[in-house]
Amino acid sequence: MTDTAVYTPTEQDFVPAPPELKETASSEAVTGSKNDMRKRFFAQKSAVAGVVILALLVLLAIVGPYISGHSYDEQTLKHANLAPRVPGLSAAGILDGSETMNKTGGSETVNLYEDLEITDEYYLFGTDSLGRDLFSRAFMGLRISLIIAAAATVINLLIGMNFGIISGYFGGMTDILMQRFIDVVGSIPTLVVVTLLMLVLKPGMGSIIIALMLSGWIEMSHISRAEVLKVKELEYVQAARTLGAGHRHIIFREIVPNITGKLITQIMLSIPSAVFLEAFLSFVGLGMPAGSCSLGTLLTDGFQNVLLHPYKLLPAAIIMVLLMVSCHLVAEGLKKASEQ
Amino acid sequence: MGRYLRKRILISVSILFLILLILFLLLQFMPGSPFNDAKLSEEQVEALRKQYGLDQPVIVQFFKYVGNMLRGDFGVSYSISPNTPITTLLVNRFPITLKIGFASLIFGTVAGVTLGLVTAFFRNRFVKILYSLFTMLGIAIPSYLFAMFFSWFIGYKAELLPLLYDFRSPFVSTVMPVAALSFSVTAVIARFTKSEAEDVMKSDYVMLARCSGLGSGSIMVKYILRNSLIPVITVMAGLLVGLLTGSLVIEKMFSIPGIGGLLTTAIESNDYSVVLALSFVYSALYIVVMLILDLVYCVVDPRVRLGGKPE
Amino acid sequence: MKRIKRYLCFCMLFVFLASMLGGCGDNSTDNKLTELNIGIGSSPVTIDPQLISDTGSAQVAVFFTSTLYAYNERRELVPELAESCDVSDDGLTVTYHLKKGLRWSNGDPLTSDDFAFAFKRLIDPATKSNSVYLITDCCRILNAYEINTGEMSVSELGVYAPDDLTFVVKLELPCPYLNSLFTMTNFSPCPREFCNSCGSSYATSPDTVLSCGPYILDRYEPLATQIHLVRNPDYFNADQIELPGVTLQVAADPQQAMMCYSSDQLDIISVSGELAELAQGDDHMSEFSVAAVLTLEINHLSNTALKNRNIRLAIAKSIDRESITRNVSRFGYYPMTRVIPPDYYTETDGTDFARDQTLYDEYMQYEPEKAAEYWAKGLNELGVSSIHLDYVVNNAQTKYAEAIKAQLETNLNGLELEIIPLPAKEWISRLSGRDYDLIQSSWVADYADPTALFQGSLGDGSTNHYFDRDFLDMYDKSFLTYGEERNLLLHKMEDKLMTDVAMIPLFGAEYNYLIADGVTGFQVNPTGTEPVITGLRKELK
Repeated sequence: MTDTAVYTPTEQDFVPAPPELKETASSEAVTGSKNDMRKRFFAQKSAVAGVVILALLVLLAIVGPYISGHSYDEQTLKHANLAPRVPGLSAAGILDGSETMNKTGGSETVNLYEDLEITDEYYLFGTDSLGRDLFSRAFMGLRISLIIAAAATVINLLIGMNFGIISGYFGGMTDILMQRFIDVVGSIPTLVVVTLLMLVLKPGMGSIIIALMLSGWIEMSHISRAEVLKVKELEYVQAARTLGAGHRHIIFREIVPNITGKLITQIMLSIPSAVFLEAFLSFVGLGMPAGSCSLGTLLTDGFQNVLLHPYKLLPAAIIMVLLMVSCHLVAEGLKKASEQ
Repeated sequence: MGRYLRKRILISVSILFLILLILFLLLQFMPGSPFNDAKLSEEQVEALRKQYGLDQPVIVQFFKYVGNMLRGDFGVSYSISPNTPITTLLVNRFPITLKIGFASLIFGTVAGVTLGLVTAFFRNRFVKILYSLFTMLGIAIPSYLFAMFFSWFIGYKAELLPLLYDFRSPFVSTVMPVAALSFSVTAVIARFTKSEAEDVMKSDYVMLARCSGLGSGSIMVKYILRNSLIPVITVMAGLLVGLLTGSLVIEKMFSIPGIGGLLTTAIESNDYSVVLALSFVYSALYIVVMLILDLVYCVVDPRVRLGGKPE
Repeated sequence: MKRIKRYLCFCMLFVFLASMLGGCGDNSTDNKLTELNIGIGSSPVTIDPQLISDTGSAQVAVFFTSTLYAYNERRELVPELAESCDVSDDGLTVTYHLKKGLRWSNGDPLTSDDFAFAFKRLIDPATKSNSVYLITDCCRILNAYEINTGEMSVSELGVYAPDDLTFVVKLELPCPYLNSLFTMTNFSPCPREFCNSCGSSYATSPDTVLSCGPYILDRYEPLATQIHLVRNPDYFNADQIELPGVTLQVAADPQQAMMCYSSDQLDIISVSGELAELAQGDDHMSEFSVAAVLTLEINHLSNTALKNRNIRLAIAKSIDRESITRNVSRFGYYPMTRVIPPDYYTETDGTDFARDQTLYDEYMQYEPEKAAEYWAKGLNELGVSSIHLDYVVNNAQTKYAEAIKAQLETNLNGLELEIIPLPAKEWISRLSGRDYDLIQSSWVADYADPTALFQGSLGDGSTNHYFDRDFLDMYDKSFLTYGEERNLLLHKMEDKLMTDVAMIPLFGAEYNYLIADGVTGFQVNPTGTEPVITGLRKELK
């Protein structure tokens, strides 16, 4: 904007609006757009599918570990390495607990349930080499991974959003300084940050969350800053400012509700990437300690014997793919809904 | 341009310094100094400390450390190959990792751009399904599973390609690792190109070109390709990080003598000196590539050159 | 459409460029067929023979080194570089007569001085070798202990080279298994002048190492993933070596190794752990019995609870070894309830030292009820209700630790174990530094004698703080006695360890290898420290 104003308004020209007026003005703009967005979002088939899958996964993460009746860390050595057996299907010859192994001397089909005379147990996903139920473990793993990802994302959101909003809203020297800081910090590769952090901290849930947090908040702040810059100049914010609203009011009542769409999209993208990174760290040996259970450790364990027992890898891999795909579908849906 | 260049270089240098500072601080707290291991008397340790300059003030030590790192003197390995200078370990390994990384980046980008453009251009159901399958799998499946998959089908079942890196056939034996690594690159680039291309296709200038009777072929090349390719450069930096991380696992799996496999080995055996040195090398590599990409972007996108900011 | 074609050409160019980056000019792979390709699990830590302290490095060094005595492919101990050896009547002076005309791979003559230099290099504190215990504890070469502690200078080590063909070793105590011990690569000769001229870069590349073994190092760098060796024409027995070359290929991922074997890319691979099941029933699978054991070491000082014999006994008796070997490890391990594995040491009358594996079942057999009784008694004596112990384990063997932890915690009320998985190097330093409560240790005997497996419980040099005067006296006496008397003594020593529950044996290991058709002559020495490679042959299919 060029400064061509001839008349500078003085304070006497304006009377602050009564609080009720401010409320109605802002909330209307917000709810209006939110309703539209919701409609547009649910009009997309893929997005709805994403939401359904995601909801199902979350539900299973909550109740899954208790369904089979075996706790996720209960060892029954006698029941080690059992292939999946499903009650109704076993009569039909599929998933009846037999597995075919491609041995170097030729392939061989065994059914350990029959060999060991186990008649009353049905392990839906099979068991691992310590005889732990993979069904409970898979969903326990999903739960742990989701907790890690969600915790990391929430912290990211808090730090990144505040950083971005302050930087974008106040502008000027504050912005420049904060952006330079981000330029520097953000240029250290995630891999290096995580590796160094793991050298210092004891491996475990806390340190993984910190590692994910250190690498994730920058993206969050970039997005909120860009959005703030956009929203800041819009009419309703200008209006609120003219009406005499303070910084706090403008930020929390005008700006934050209007950038949530973008931020939720980012959350939906950063949860799967956190899960992914956790899986990766486990594989390299920087993840959750041995004996614990997360999608990463399950994938790693399953991977190590996939030639022998492919069924051990499958549940974790499928859950992982479903989680990633559903989060992306939801994110895409949100993006489309907010763009139109 | 000059101002922008100066600013970028200044930032890069300060990042490097920050990383060196962090590494130096970590080094002070790490177990496994070169003299912990041996049975040395007090006087011998003192003499060694003097020899390595450890009796000097911390700040002097820091600048010495910075000097050493920048000269490429990274110290010696502590456990994975005791007393071998880390530089010796890096000399032959670095180019191999670089080759594989860039091959994956280039291959993945070309495949991704092609897939993205084809999907955006031909609104064909089959192409769309192929695109969705490719991008979803590329994003949802870790590279080590792809590697396993390729090894099983191409290396083991079909016996077409070697399963491990072989000096006697360096090209053939890197095909599978590159393919496994570039999968995620392809997925991300394809998604990005597709959405960019769709934006461009909706834009006024393409509309104008269409109205003025230009054939779809020339529109594709003159407008869509060019305008949707430029932003692809910005995502490449992010993908590079993914490749660096991916190389850790892939190199170990295929026994590739690169720095990724070295870092995995060092992490597994807590060889701090090697981990710290490799962290520096990785950071430096990343920063340099970022700088190059930024400059390339600056050259192809006049807005940046003229003082704006790439967003 | 023409433009699109141009774009496609552009893409092709990129792909072409990418392939250029990948490196061009693939050499012919013909020699891959006549040469032998062996898969190894990890890169060697070092190939400097005197520095080696792990089996992974030793299996590489055997290809280009040679020792005074060696095992042949029938596992017989035969003279290698030595022609013969004389032992003095008191057993303290051993004289080796070297073969004539021995040469290094650069043509220099190999003399007895190279042996003396190698032995001194091993003990020299400046070398910082972790295998010094071989000549200070396993056998006691004159002055070795004093040199190691810095009281004497290196030149005073009891090894002498009176002439080029005579190498004399003076001992402090007689050592009945000396020749077996000297088969280790650590005792291979070292060319004095060449080594000094290389300085610290000795044995770090093919140019800085000389070969006296069947093969010459052709391609190697520190932490190499592929090591190539070619036949050594100067090897004294070169006529017997038929292979033109050998490639040692690191295959860190066992599944990748398995697939390589199945697709003929590797000729010999080692299989262990769960994956071994894939090779069950395959005639190409060869089993080698070795003296590799997994034990649970108890730190007798770190925790007052572990000083109590009832507590130790309770722990020993609540591990169901059989269920773990049958279900968890499945192949490659068998349950062990005594210190000495079967088929390891033959007594003077020709019977197996450890023929009765159930001998110590009273202390070691799985009996949860009795264990609980001992446990209750122990807790009572200590006046506590719960015990917390650190359980240190090598990263690679965490699975067994998890199973053992579950068994111990179910059977022993109030026991709490914290598993601490560590990378190999730190795990070893915890073991040798005795920084643990319980540690799962895996040990390969260095020489074919029961005392090799008692090393961990030997007072000052022990890894478990077990300090028993009687036991130490018996150990010293074992050097001075012979024949039947010595056998009895060794049995008494084992009795002592078991009744005291000084340590808890867990499993014995056997090595399994998949060996492709046409490859013959592969063997592992009786202890399992090194493969025997002099007899390797490969017939083309």
